[in-house]
Amino acid sequence: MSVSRVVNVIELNKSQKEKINAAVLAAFPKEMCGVITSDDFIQISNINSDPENSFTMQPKEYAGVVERAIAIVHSHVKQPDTRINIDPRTPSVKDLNYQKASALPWLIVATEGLTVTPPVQFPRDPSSKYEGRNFIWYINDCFTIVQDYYRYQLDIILPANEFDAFNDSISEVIEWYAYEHGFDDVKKIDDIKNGDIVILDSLGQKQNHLGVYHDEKILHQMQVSRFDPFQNYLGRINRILRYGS
Amino acid sequence: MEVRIYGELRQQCPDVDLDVKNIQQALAGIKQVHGQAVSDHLLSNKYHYFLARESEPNKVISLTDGLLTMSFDSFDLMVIVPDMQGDVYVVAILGVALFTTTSLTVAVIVAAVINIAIALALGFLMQLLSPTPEFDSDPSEAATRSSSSLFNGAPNIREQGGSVPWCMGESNAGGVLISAGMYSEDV
Repeated sequence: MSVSRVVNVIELNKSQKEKINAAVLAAFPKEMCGVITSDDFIQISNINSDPENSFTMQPKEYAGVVERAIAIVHSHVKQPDTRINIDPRTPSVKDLNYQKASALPWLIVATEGLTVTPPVQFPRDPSSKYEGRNFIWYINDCFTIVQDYYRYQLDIILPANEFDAFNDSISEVIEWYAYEHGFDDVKKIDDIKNGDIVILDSLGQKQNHLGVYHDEKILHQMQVSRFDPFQNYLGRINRILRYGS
Repeated sequence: MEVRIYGELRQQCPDVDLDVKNIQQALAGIKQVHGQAVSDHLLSNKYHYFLARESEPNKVISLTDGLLTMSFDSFDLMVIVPDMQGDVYVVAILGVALFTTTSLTVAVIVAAVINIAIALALGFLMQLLSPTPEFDSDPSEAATRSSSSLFNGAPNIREQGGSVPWCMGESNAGGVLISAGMYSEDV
């Protein structure tokens, strides 16, 4: 059953969840893919030559059910990541591109072969609940929380920011976005006001994190999103940007 | 024949009825009805073409290149769907991680081999600089034959003029006596 919000949020019923989980575990260690209809789940063959890391829907099977499809679902196989803790449901750039081509919401679940995580959906559902979100690139990242703040606090829709989180330079993405979408620098830190975007240095890198200033606090998405005292970040502020000034 | 295009073109391309006999005519009809941009999009992106009957829309037949001129007479529905693919984000990351790990492993092994080689070379040099005295027999017997001023009678295994390790600083553990001066009473 789907509930209409800013985006069409897919809410799975018990039977759909059970069918998806069973299909995901049966397919392990390969990726599973299928379509969600209004009251069912239909698995589609994954014909990709590298099924442990990718999926390609069997076109004929997909064409047979596309009329009834309200969403696409596929699984990611959890892989050990030696660098940082990344949610295994994080969509890849290819996932993001093909989601657009499908014009349907996509769900991703992840498995290590024994259990199946709850799905994440993209396009994401904007929310005015700012605190307590867990980090997932493109769904709950440091830009999306600023997007939501602008939507609900300032009634401004910031366009999506298209980038490759694992290959693009985040500082260049921020630079480009600020230029492209009419942000100007605030020269004096004392002039900061609610809604200004604070560009921070993080993890030893320049301009790779951002948050939004609100009542002497900064709202930002770390592993968990939160309001932090602005004072604590004074030494890490690289730029302050104001929308449409 | 009704032509249904799915995916991102669906919003701008409502279903259309085209009087066409094969896929070539169908593509020409789509171009005429929906415009050049839609036609270009279909040709430049991966789409799959299927024939079906309205009564059984689930049973589709693939239109492959070999069937470009196949007659549509017995079908009344054309379904055009985009390719559906995805992958896992960690492909690139793992590549980097594996590369890093492999490089690191190789680096550690190389460093270890170099360290061993340096240690061997230094050991050899030390041996050259510290020749051991030659004894006719067991060194302990030699010690009994010649007078030794070493305290507690330990045999002297360094020949005169040979280097003797010299330790300085504070020791928090019990050590081995390597040299002892004479007591003033002995002089």
